[in-house]
Amino acid sequence: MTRLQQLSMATGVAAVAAGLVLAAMGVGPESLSRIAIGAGILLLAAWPSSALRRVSGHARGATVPLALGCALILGLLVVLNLLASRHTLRWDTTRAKRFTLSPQTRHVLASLPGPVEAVAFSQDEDREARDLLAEYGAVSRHFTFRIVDPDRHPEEAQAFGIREYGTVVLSWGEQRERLTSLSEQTLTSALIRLRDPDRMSLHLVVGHGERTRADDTKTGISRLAETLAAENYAVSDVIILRDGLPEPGDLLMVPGPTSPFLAAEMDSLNRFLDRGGRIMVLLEPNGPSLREILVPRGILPRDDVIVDASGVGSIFGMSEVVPLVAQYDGSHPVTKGFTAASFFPMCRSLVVADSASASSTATCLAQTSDASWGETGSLSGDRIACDGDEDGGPLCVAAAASWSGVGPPDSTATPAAGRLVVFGDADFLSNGFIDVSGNRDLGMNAVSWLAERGELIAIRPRTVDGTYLTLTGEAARSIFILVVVVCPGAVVFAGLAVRLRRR
Amino acid sequence: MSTVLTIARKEFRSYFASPMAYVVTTVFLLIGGFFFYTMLSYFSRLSFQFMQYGYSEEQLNINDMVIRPLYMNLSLILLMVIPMITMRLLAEERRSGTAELLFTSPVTAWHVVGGKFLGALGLVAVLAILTCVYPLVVLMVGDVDPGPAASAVAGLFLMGAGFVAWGVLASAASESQIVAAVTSFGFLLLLWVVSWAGSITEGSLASVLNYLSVMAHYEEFTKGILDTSHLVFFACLTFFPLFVAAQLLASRHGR
Repeated sequence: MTRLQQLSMATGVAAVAAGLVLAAMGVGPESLSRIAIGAGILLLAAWPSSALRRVSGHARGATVPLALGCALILGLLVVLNLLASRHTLRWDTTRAKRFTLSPQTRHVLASLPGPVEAVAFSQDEDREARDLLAEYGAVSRHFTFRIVDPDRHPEEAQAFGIREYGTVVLSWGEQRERLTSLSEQTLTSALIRLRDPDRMSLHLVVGHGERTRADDTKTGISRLAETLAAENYAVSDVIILRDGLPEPGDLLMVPGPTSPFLAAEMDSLNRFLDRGGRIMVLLEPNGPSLREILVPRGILPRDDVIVDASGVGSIFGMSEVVPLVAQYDGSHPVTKGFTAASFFPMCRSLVVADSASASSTATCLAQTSDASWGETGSLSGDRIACDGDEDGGPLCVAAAASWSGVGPPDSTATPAAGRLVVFGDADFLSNGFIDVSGNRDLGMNAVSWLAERGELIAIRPRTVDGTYLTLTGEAARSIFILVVVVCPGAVVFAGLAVRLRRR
Repeated sequence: MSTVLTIARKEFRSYFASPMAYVVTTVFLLIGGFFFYTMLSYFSRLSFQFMQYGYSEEQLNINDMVIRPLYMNLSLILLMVIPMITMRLLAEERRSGTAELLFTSPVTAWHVVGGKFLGALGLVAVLAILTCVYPLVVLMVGDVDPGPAASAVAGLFLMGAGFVAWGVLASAASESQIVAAVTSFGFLLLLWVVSWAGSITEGSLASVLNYLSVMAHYEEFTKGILDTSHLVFFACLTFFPLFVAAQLLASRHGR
């Protein structure tokens, strides 16, 4: 290699490096860095051609076959990589399976009708966002993403109307969805909204002392309403006597009524259910039992409060009247594969009839432990005990029923099947408890089943296997000595020993 | 195969017979140890602050905050030391004239390239195995997720294999060790940062540049993900320069 070629090569490396550094730091116009990189590559390109000529040495005529052979192999390797990148097998070795998308997300990604681009506006290196978006991209070729620094590219931020860092915009054709917090749940929900722009209506019954979505205290359900909105439900309030009941295609939720319903309201609800309506009922021990609509569908609420004496709840800082539920029906879609514990503060028990009627089936979804019972007496006093006439555990805290709907007499269309989910407690989805263990997932699974949106059932939030680690001064010193002194020192010592022995 | 292993064994031994292996390993462990200590100390300080202000420990993941960045840094150190390991492999034989001697024995170019490659890869394997000391230290004082740590070590080794292969090619193409070292360093650096160029381009060119980036493939290993596409990428990254090197030697020596 001549001195000139060496100089060309060194200059080429320097030019490419300078161009890349300029591009990475955003210094100067982009054209400058591109020119530097281009010039560097041209200078470097001078080396392989001269090397090929030189190395062929004794067989000068072999340069062309050599280059052709290399090009052929390179082409094959490119094809191999293309195939490998399109048909991948992935293993997530993390303990918490942090980089494994749920089957529901995979189902949604598989059903994407066209290319969806996610643009994440992040000022800093947002590793979590990048990891999550990369997982989506690895599963579907239709899903691509970019991370844009809004400070470096204000024109893009302006075009998307970005006002805060961390915003993610999903685009499919002309449609856009905006996310301000990124998680698998929010991202998949946004993809569903993008794919199915029609929102399903969910009406919260009010007027009987129910929990309200406007209430952001611990007993309110504002966070439940936010979750429902994020999953593409149009949430609204309904006063049955004033507004009437919605069409059976909409969902109805009765969130913890405390005063009784009128007979006319019960009749309306019964008619709604008979026509294939879907209701989620959250009862309270001291509220109305709504037996008029539940018993015909095979679910009988008892007048008791479940007490759990197993002591398991105390591990989580809960008292005896907050039973921990970990036994779920493995065959029902709401609880299939559901393993997280859930907590039901002040819950009444339910009895599920073996066969409500020929066209209706009822299932107990979740049960308390054997060490629980349904307390019918007072909960005050030093010690609460199970009396002989009280029902012992396991007790049912949630039940689901479905039946064939009956259409209007003048209609020829097949009516939808009616569905009902009853929980013996409303607190478990209140602001104070919705984030405890699996409460939110269980509630949202029930809503998704009612809405027949199976793909939204059980997308677990990603758990981060976090832990504190505090080093004492002595431990820190020991680690420093071990990794900075002992380990390299041992290698130096071994080297010296070999050298001395050889001498 | 036995010829390849014989050459590989000879090369591997020659590293440890000279100061080369000891110097490279010492430098690698010294810088790696310093990185590890500063990262672990920072994590410890952050843990203390989180406990003090009552933040959830869920936000503190030692794999994400110590092991993963540590292995990203280790790969950069590897990128700097591998040209030193590989520079003399074939360039020295050619300069001293022993290449002719080597090729008078019944060995093919593939034997020589494969043996030299495996010999240098042995030293890289030693470096990769020695990095296990860092997750083990974390395990002594706390908890570490073993899956991603093992995956990071495997990724470091596979990336090292690719780097060694390019080093072998640079050494095969040059008589001068310095030129071989500078060339392979420059090329490896280019492979490392090529995704930066991807960020200033658009469309399919950006996709190609991003795919060529060693960093992007290696990072998945540090996260704890084993993906067949990354395995294929590193296999190709290793095979292609070895193929070219073997062709160069074959054309030069008629074997």
